[in-house]
Amino acid sequence: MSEDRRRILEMLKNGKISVAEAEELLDATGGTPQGEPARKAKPKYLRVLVHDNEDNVDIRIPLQLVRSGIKLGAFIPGHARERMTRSLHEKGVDFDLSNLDPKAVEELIDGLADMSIDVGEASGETVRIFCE
Amino acid sequence: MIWPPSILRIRILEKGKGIRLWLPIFLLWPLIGLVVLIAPIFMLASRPITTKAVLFSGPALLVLFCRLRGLRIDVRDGSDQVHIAFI
Repeated sequence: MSEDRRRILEMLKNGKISVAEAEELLDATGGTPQGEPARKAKPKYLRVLVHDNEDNVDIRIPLQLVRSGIKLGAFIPGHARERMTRSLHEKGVDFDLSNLDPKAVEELIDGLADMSIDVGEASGETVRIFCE
Repeated sequence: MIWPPSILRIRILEKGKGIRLWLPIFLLWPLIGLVVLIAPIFMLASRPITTKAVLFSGPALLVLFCRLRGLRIDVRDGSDQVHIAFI
């Protein structure tokens, strides 16, 4: 325990500061409280790895690129968006681009941090999708 | 500050032979900046679209270009390889 933290806790014990004040001071010291896991760093890339016996695919996509792409999608003119949706529908993809909610996508990207997909087959083929 | 990618590395190999390129994209930065600046004017002239799209599509494109830094695609099939990386 650092000297600063000890001093703050002693001040709290002696009733010199309130719990809220102690919390603020502890936050200001910058350390994470003991017992609480350190906050995970935000992932920067989405990785897709496919290993076959001879074939290997390694793709690294910056998550910021995904975010920017979605933001840019908002500038697609209405008639172009309709045509894209129609084309997707013709190819069996029932997805309406106008229903794309940037906030939901943002939450989805944040949620990717904890996602990891590992698929392995007996033949040696593996597929891994994760964030780093 | 977001910096755009400075180098585009392309490697297309077939049985170990092929193209290996390091393209200095940083030389194109001024040109890309100019295109981004004038693109909304062309868009305005070509099609009737909303003012918002005209005003913001240029910077959004620039941001998208900047975010390409770090994108890497590497596909190998035996001795054949396609590698594209924005550095």
